[in-house]
Amino acid sequence: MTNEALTNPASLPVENGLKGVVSDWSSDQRAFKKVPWGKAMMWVFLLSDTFVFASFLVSYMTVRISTTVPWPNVSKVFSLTVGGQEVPLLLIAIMTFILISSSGTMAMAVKFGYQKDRRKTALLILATAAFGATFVGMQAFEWTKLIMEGVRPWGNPFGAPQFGSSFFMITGFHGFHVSVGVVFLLIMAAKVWRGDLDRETPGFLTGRRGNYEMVEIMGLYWHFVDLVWVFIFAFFYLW
Amino acid sequence: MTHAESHGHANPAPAKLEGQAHPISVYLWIWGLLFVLSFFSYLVDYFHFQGFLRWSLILLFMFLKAGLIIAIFMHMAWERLALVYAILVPTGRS
Repeated sequence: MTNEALTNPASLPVENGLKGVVSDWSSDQRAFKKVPWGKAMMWVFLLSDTFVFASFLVSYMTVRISTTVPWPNVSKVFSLTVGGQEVPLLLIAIMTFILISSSGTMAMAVKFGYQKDRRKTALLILATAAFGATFVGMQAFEWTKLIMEGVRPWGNPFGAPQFGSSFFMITGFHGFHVSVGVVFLLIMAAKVWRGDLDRETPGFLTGRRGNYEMVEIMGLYWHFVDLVWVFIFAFFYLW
Repeated sequence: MTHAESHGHANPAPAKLEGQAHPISVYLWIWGLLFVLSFFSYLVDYFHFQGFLRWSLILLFMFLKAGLIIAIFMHMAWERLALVYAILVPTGRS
């Protein structure tokens, strides 16, 4: 009877609410109950990544406040001319909608993954990757446009020189995250399509058995990339 | 008897479904809401709002979007509180 709790921690009663927090953390076993370890570790990674991006945004705000030269008019710098008319922030708005759409398809991929709908999951992950690749492509276009206009990490023709360094650092780091995400999405789509997750095939790198929780963990990363963009959009492009 | 039978037929293996299972409409709704909120924050720039009105509107839409993504898309609303606090408390402190 007493051994039951020792050998099978799942047999212990699980409490909810604040009491549950206390009992989970003081249970002298795994703290994150009913959460696959991969998911808990992804959350911890995302937490550390949050600090990285938070540092970037805080340092950007610091230089923006402290610089003696006026900050460039961001709305104008990122405007596009459509049919002879200048539309402010048009490209950035489209990029925002694309990234949100990719999050939507990813969320649905996770849902169909848990329903073991291989075809729909793979197609939705592929759609997510396509949206992500489009986003990176538009970012490349944006970088090209700004570089040709003379924006450099050490100066630019529009105002405070710190604008360039903040821009390339923040959007570059975010774009890198998106690119890495696209690569992993394609790998995950292939795994799902082949049926690796149904057959629990060991992965080629880690040897971990395939599992549809992997799609949700991949999704967590992807939503995080979208989440970071929400903050960059607000603080860098709109502020 | 007939009720139990029909129920069993429509739902052959309810216990088999594991992980996060939410109706697809939830995701579509949040998707739509995120579109609307993004559009609103774009309008803040389009209409050239300035000063505290601009900043508070930007922050409002930003936090609403971030909250929806974390709570629904990342399933934080359905996780156990021990995990929720482990992630959100350090974030809030930073």
